[in-house]
Amino acid sequence: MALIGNCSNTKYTQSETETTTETITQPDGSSEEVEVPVIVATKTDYTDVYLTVKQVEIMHSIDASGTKRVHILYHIAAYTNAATRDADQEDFLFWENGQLPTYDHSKNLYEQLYDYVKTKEGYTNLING
Amino acid sequence: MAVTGSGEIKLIGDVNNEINGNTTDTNVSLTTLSTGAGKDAPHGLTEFYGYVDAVAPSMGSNSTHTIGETYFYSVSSVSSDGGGTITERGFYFGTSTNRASNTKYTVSGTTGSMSRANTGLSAGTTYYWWAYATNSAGTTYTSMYTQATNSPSASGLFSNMSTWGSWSPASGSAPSNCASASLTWGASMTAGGYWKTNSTTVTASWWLTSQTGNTCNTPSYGAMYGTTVSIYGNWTWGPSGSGGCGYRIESWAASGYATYHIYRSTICC
Repeated sequence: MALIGNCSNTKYTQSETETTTETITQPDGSSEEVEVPVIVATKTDYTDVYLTVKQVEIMHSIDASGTKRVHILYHIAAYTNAATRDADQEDFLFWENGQLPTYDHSKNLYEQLYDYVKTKEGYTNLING
Repeated sequence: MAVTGSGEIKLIGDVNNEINGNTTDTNVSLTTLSTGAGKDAPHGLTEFYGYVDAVAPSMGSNSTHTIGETYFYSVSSVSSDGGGTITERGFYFGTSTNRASNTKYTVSGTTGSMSRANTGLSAGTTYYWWAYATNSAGTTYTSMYTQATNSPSASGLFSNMSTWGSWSPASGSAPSNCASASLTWGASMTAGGYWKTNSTTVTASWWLTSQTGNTCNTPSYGAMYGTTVSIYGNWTWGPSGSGGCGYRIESWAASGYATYHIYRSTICC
């Protein structure tokens, strides 16, 4: 299973030269201003990619209130074609990770992941391949 | 709307009359009227009657990017200023599901995309964040976005386990209500990479998943989570009436690709 077509990928990094002022306000109302690196978003377009879910992690957590949660963390990777992926799964054009926002135990996990990826900005033109 | 004998509509004066309830200021312009009302001046009749107050900003969708063990980026956007100037925008971010209980981070800019690098986070921990924007009409918040950081890699776990963890205190009395208890990390644990935090007195949580016996030296296994403190479940500390029950952490172990630490504890009564 894979997604194919044209897509774009946006990488977010922190600038090494530019900073901006961020105001941090605590719940008690106290605040301070700090200098933080400017975040640089770099968008790259790709043509005719072969995109697959490369890695999935199911993580269980519990918070202070005792609420238990299931987190589905995934990695996707785009290749020039299926043969490239088959030869070396690390030979990708780009990769990205994220978290499946909702999870339905009664449905196939991979299908849910692929369907979710197709809704994300930059990947809406991909189709099942 | 009054019409003069020549057919000229006394627009300016009549508009003023309708608004101010008097007819003395016959040369008041639409611009003057609207400015006096604290509005941006309309310069034509259509603008005047079509004028609407600003509404609260509209927000775009949230997403996270580049998720690591100790960081991830929150990305959102202000899709519309609602007709008013955006005076503040940013994120609420923290470990509480109550937005107001978390820290607010105000970032620069007005409309369009905005992002923030959330750094210094704990591995394998759930965080919650909201984006917001404010104009003269109010503040709009996005819905809560839940994001977990990556769990620590197996290699990281084992490297940090070169010195087996110890607790300080390593044992203690059981809470009378069996509802909660806390331990404080010993120095050897705060030095560990995964468990390193901003605080030197971080408390840890444990959750007994398979407690089967309450006799002394019966090992049980639990899962270590994050930085909060609780014992969950209906679990009693030893035989009723025995008194003096307590806990003692014997050793640590890390599961290969597990998302949390596994430890063994011994209950002595």
